[in-house]
Amino acid sequence: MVAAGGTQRVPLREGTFTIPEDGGPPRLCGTRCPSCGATYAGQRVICLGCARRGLEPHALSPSGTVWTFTIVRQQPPGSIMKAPYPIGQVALDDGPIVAAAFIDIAPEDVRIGMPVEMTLVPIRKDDNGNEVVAHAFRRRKEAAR
Amino acid sequence: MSDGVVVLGVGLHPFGRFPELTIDDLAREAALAALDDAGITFREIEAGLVGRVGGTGPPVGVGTHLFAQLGQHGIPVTNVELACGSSSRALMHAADMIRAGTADTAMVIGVEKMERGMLRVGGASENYASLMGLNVMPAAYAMRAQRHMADYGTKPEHFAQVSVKSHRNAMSNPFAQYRIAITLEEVLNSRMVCDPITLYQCCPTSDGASAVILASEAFARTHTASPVFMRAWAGGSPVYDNGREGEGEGPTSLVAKRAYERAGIGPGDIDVTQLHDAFTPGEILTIEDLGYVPRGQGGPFVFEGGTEITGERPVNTDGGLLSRGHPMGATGGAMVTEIVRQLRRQAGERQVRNCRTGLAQNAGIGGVNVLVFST
Repeated sequence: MVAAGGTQRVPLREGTFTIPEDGGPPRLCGTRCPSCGATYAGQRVICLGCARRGLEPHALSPSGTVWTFTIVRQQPPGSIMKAPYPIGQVALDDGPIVAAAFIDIAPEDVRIGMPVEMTLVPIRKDDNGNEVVAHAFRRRKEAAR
Repeated sequence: MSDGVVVLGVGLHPFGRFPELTIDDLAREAALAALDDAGITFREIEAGLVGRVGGTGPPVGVGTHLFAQLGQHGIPVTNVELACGSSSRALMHAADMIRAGTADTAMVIGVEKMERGMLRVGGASENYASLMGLNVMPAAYAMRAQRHMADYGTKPEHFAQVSVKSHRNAMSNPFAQYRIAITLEEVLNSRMVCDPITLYQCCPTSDGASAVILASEAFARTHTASPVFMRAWAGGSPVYDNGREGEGEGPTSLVAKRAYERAGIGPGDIDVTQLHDAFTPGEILTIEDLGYVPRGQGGPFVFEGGTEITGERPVNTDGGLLSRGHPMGATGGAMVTEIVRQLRRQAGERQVRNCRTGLAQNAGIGGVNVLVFST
């Protein structure tokens, strides 16, 4: 995907999420069991539900709700986040619960059950001038998807 | 029971900060204290196990290194690592050996030297979690606490009360890191770390060591007239539940159920408990997982004194991780040391009345252990 200035946006770690060419929302890469339909965050080979070997790639829902959260008040070394900042877990609409950094939400505004959606945040420029991006969650703009 | 496993000796090196001491020094003092407590010599130990996570000192072969300083008569020595649950898992394996008849005695040493400051998980390299500030140790407990507050109405002062009680209990424990009284207001007004957890609701990093000697009942009967038995033990690793927080330390409720079944008892039979309170929500969540109170009632139960030494369900009578300290590898053995002292009526001012059955719950990243003891 081309960002402002003509540079490419590349994921912090390849295979973590997809950046659709059509401008649609970024989605986390997950896996889905073709037998029982169980859906997982990240790359699994074996289904935890039915033990099927060989799961399919599955682009996870970009929207969900805050499952739980806290506000980190002490600055951890090496983080781009500036304390105090909220973090949490998001229950995606298709099932899995994932660790979440929140952006553009004031710490005191985060609530369990708050609708959120995935977004991308710039981390740095790589050697080729591309913008390295990571995923985070922000307050959902539309009421429902 | 004639094939029982007996806790014959327990010993600690005080928990705290000892920059001048090595893990060798810490481990040796705890081991010698346990031998003296058992009334045996090191030559009578038939197996050695060490619970330790890492840090300063020898990284490879640490168990053999530590045991070699106590004596060298060729016993098998095994290293067991289960993060903060290392030495309780080592004790389970030692008990298995004794029950299987492969050893009549076994010593478990738990030891750790830790750095100051917030524990770093996941390393320092640039990865997503550290970059986005997700690798924050208290956050896992804080997020479980937030969910508990939303689901059951648990209040910040409920969590804070855990720390008030643990500090008070530690005042009469000469091995504890913090022996100072602290008020509810002081806990609540200390610096917020991860909402709702304030600084005084976090366990310290610590240096320290524990040693526990297990023996077959036949061996123990020649050394003590009033043995404390390790009656049942069970361990577990996480059960997948869509990825929600709390999976990392494993299913305490499931593991406790197994331990109760193996002991032939129920949660109502436990007179004294040491559990994993690395952060204050640990006590409230765990007394529910152990079946002491219905789900959601842990907060008010603790706040109203239910887990005090004089309460209905005494918990962490020695100050727990919060105040006794938490040198990771040593913690499980320290929990067992306190249970044994309680069951032997050696706990002094901390003594729980009518104490016959005790339980230790020790959790680490990757698993949880529940051990049941009785006279």
